Amino acid sequence: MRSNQPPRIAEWLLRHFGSSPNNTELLGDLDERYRHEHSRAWYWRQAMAAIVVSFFKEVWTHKPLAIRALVIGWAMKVAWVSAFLYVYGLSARRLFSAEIEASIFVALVGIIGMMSTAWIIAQTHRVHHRPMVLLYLLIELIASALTFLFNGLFGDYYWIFPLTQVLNAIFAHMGIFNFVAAFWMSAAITVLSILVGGGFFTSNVRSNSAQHQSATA
Amino acid sequence: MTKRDQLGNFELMVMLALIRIGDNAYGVPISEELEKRTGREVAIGSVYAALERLEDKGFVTSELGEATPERGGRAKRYFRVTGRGLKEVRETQRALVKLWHGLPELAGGKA
Repeated sequence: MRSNQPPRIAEWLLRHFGSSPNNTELLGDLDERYRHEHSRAWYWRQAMAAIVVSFFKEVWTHKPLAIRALVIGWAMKVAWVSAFLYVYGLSARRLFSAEIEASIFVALVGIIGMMSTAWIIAQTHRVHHRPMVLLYLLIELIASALTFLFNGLFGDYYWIFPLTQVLNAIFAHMGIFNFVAAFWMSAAITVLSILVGGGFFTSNVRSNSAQHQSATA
Repeated sequence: MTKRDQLGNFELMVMLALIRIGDNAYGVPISEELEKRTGREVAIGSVYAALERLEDKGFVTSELGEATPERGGRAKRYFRVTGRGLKEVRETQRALVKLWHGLPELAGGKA
């Protein structure tokens, strides 16, 4: 027999990644229809469609904000990476005696850089922070994939590649040689860091609805 | 009228569903009405995207309603067509009827 509770993962994904200003009400509507008549597959389809549709709708409706979010994100990243490479180049030998220490330091700095970049985007687009941070993440992943495929320029300025090299060095120190694992782990760390920095796992569904109320009042 | 203020195909369907339902128009009855009339599954996310666009255009207003246990304690959002929205639907209807008129290919309901 089918449970009255909707699929938890699908509900969680929609609660955290839905960009609609009416996300809470949408979740309520899905709950209501699911309890009356529908299957788990139906709920999954609806939840995934709602995430995708609300993301593109918000970005399309707020194009200037979307461009601003990307400019802020990329400017911050280039500044962060440039400053880090300069400082690290000057002081790395004095700071660390072992390569593993330097690699861990670089990985941590990268993670802090990604989180703070996403945080700044979220703070500068408070009402629309979800679609704007997701857009930044999406463009980052697409650009990284294109760079990877076409051996493009500026590879150091995407978060994933330097992190892959660093993780590979850490793995090598542990006696593991697996570049593919290092790549996928760095991709996962990049996604998680940007989402955490963008405030995706602090539940603010209620505040979304309150913001919509005040906007429509 | 700017292009932005015109009704898209799905937006027009949502407006007609809103007019048909009347006072009790929130996500569930709107999506059920659309499914009943079109015979196709409708994504509630798409219905909300259309409603938000219509609200931005001033064709629809909304207000929060009551929360019920069967909705996981979440409130409903009720939508209502504005006078401007009703006028726009009438204008769209007039334009479509004019376009429809005198087309032999569409007479008799055959494909």
